[in-house]
Amino acid sequence: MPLSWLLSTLASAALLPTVPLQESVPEEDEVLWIHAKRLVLRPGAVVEGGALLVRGGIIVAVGEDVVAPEGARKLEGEVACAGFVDGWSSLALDPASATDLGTAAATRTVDALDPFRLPYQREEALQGGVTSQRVQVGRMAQFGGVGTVLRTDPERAEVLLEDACVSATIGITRGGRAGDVFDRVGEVDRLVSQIEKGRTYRESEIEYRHELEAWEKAIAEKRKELDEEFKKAKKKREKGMEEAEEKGKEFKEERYKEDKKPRKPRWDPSTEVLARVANGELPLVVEVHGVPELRSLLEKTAGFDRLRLVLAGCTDAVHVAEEIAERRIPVLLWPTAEPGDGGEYERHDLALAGALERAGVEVLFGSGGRALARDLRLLAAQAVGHGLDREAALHALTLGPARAFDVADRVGTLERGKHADVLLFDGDPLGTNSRIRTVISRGRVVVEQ
Amino acid sequence: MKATMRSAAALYATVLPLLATLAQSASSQDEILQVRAKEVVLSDGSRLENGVVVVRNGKIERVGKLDLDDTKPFLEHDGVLTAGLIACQTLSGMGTEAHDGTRSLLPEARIAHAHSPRHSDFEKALEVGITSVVLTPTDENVAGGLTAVVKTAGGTVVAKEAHLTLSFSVHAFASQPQRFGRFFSGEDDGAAEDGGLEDTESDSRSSRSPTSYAGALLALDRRLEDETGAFSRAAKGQLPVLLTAWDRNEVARAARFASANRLAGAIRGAPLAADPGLLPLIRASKLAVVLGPFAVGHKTRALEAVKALQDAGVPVGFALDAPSSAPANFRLTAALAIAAGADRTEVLRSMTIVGARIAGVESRVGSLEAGKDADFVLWSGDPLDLSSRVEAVFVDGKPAWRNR
Amino acid sequence: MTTRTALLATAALAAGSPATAQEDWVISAKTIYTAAGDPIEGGAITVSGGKITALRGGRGTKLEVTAVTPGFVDLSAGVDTGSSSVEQTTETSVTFSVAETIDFFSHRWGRELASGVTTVLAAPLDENVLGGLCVVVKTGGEPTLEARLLRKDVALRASIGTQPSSGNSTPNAFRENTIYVRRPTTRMGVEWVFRKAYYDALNAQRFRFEVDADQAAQNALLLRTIEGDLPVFVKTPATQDVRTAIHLKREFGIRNMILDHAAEAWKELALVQESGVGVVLPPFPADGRLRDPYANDSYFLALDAAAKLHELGVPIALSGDGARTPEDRIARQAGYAMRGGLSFEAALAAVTIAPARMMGVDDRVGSIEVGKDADLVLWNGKPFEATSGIVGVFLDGKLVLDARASTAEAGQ
Repeated sequence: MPLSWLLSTLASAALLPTVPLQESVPEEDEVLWIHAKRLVLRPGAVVEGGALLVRGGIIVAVGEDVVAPEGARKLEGEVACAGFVDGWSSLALDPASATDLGTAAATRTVDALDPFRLPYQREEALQGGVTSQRVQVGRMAQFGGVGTVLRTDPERAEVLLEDACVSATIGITRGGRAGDVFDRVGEVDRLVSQIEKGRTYRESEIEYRHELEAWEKAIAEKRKELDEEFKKAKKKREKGMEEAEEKGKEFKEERYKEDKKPRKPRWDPSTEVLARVANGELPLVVEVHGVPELRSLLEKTAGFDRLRLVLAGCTDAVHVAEEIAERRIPVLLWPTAEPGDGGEYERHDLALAGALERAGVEVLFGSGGRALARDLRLLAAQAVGHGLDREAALHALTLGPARAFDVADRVGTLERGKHADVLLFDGDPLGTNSRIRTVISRGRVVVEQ
Repeated sequence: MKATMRSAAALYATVLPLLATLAQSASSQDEILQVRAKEVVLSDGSRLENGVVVVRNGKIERVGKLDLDDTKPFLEHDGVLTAGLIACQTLSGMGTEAHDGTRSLLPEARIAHAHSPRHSDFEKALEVGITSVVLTPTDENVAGGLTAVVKTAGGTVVAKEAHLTLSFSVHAFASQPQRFGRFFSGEDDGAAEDGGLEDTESDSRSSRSPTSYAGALLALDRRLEDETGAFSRAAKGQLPVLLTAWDRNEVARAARFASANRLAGAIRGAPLAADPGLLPLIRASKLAVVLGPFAVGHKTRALEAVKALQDAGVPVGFALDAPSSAPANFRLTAALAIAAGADRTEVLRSMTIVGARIAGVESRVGSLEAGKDADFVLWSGDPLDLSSRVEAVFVDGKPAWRNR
Repeated sequence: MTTRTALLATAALAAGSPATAQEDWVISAKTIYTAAGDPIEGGAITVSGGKITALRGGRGTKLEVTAVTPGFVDLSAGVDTGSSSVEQTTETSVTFSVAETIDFFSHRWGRELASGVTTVLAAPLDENVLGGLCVVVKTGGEPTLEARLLRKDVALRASIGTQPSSGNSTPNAFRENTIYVRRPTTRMGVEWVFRKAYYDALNAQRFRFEVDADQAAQNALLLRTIEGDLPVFVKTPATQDVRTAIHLKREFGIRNMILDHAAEAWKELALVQESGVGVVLPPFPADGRLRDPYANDSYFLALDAAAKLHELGVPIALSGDGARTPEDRIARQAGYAMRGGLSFEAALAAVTIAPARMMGVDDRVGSIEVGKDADLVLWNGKPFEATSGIVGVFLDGKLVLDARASTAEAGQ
């Protein structure tokens, strides 16, 4: 029996996606067997009476017929689903960093993370079912910088993805002042020109590389020639110099192509980051609320075919919903009734999520860039109560943000090979009458109530 | 989603002809309406499957598992029916009228005159299922005036003088109150001893007399000896009081004042009511407590107050505090309290019958009982579950709001 | 032991946790500084029922420390609730008692306990010339007045100097007319208000004027200060304030006067000695200068002020004034006073029995004697040395601050 077990483990290991080097295997190798009457693998895929097997923090088996090996810890629940991913948070950031207005595109959130900050916030977020969060500095700045996806568990402050996205804002109230419509649309122009700069920088970088290669080749050839003709050239030069001295003329040296070395394109770190955005390597999250700037943004970014855009906030997005759906741009909402810092949310309608979803837009949820993940599930339930489809709500809490921020290979659904972030409920996950009974983060049981 | 749409469509289909029937019958006979819901929730927490509520002339005539009379207008609802919700405090429809800064003691001021019944604040309250609210002044006067209980539709004033408001809060003396920021988690150190929930000692001072707690207490003690007026009625126990107090020492002072002068009523505020030094004082005073509203991110210690008060047998009501707090927060308050451990049946009772009792209008509203006003709400599912919605609200037997 | 752990322990116990309920203790120490005579070497204090029952050993939970002193008594601890603790409708709010306005839930109590202070005087804020009646309370226990009160209405608070006049203004066409447009706006005005209150009281008594109930109550209290059974506790930071207070004392024959925050009393040694007033000194500043927050002025407190006053027989007490920083704590003040020449015994008395005696609570607190309240401070070295620390505090026989608890919590 041990041999067959070994073989099956090896076989399943071979099918596992490669784990990036930056992650470490957790110390405890507790084997968990999680069984639920309804196992929600992903929104729309439910296994009745299914179970999960977790080993080393990874889901190694999922299905109806998964049996508990000996020594495994057994956990039961009514409904199980993947741990929630908060797409818009400021966990582990001090308030100065989170609201910094002076960030640039190259500012990195991972530099500002404080893993020891306010552990009760992380515990409460875990109790609310949020196992990982996209964290961003400068939520009110024009360019917030490069965001990070972080695991909520305070014992293992693991960074899931250091460079997850770049964020920007358009037309929001900053430092108490909001611009008028012209200012806001002007901000769209500025944003798009920066992205354009990034794109041309990338192109010119490639061009530069080619030119540099060619030039270096030419120089190498020239040098070879020189070496061959060194003595000859030296004599020629000396002779030329003497002649010039006699004649009192200026001696002109032969000029090489050396003087025409190709100029490297002007580099600055922000342009570098935006080049990656223009190239589609990093998604761009733009917080924008009003219709004029939304329209302008959609129009002006239509020409960037590799740009991955995520719209956030979107209070008035229902008016451009078809266009957003057509372009397949996900919308990141903070589904709250709070007015927010600058009143952008005052017009916010709790039925927005439902309306957008019905128009075909992919909806994602986040805590508006604050550290309020504890109540994210309640807000999602509130959105359901105002017309959002239940499955879409679950997607907005799990797979949606995971996919948008490139961590869907590890979190967001209950599938073999992914991190074991599992929530066990005693009822419907989106009903606030049911409670979260168990939270498992990377195979570690962090909450049990 | 499909289920609720069906229900909404059904509602649409039945209510429109219903209104026509009502219009016809209005002139000649009694107005009768029968409503059958998949589940009718009563004030003691019991649920009637396929229960029926019969309304006659705006009052509830009968409630039970009855048969429908096909000759009279009836409505079938594929969902839950409960009594209309009661908010024990709000500044709805009052704008700047809620605060009169001329004098600190205005005990005879009637807040009923300060509100505009057609204000949109009331419609927004209706959308979350609230049928009656207690209008109060702000806590910036030591004696702010007499509260009123009004319906959110139709402008009916249920009680013109429901409580005498007294403020034990430092906001009655401080010229720049820092009220709301400290309730939300994030920047504050929630591990501080008071959970970051108390006002730091205020440096700003009042420009009116009294300027201190002692001065306020002296003024109140004196006024309680009045022979006529609001204070004398409160002292005799004929008029309940609504005491606003936030910090723990303020709540302690308010509770003792009520105990010492045998005043009945409620404390409004008290986010740290769960503090073991405070709970016995509140219980001894026999006052109720009006908590909330809680918004997203509200500090856990304040959420736990609901459960602690429930366990101690202290009646709890919830505040709406519109327009500064969004009306949706009324239901969110209940969900947050439940998430922090409060009992569900008790929370629903706090939003209905106990709220009505605190408002002093339980003879007229707050539960589905014969003789009470026909204020009820049709829900798509459990009212405490945020994922269910309000489908329709009836006030005084008439449809006041419908989910489109 | 971190302050925070200590404060948490305090908070838990202030809330009445059952863990350390009425236990009997036997605290043995290398030296017990009783503040009532010579120190006791190798003794053991027995605590039972909240009181000290014996000094030579007995039965109970054992505790062993290097030194024990009585719990400190701080008359100037600043435990008010800011401007809502003084009724400023009038500058002479004589009849108001601060008892109604104390915030027993404030984190300040924990801070006081951590510095070893077990008894404080709570006074109204010094915005009024005559602020009202002070009370003496314990710094720990149930958060109610009944549980913590030691003595009610022990003294009449007065304030001479720049503070009472600082909030007032003269009538001005451009400024809003509030209750603060009134006298006093200068030091002269402050003295005038003080004098007028007493003048009115004495005149009413002599000529039997008809006065309303409030005025009559005020007059009665002021007359009590003259007859002697109510001390006047007056804040006098500057030299001229000290002189003013003593002149007023003489003028109206106020029997018992104690100067608070009297930083510059050492500049008028003869006057102070002759007048028989008691003196409470503020914390010693690092550079000798105490800045006046209400006027562009400073006061100078010399390090040897305490020694000089004590030498002349003036009753002195030291204070921590709210102790926001460790340097300000009352235990350090005793150390600084000793640096200035004060003897150890006098320094100990200045933070224990002397202030207790000033406010008439020395029957309950202030020294380690059989029958008094079990308020003790436990040290791991000689008290008031910079290298010694407070490892425990007893209040009413309960261990409210425990170095042992912090080591247990550190493991969590």
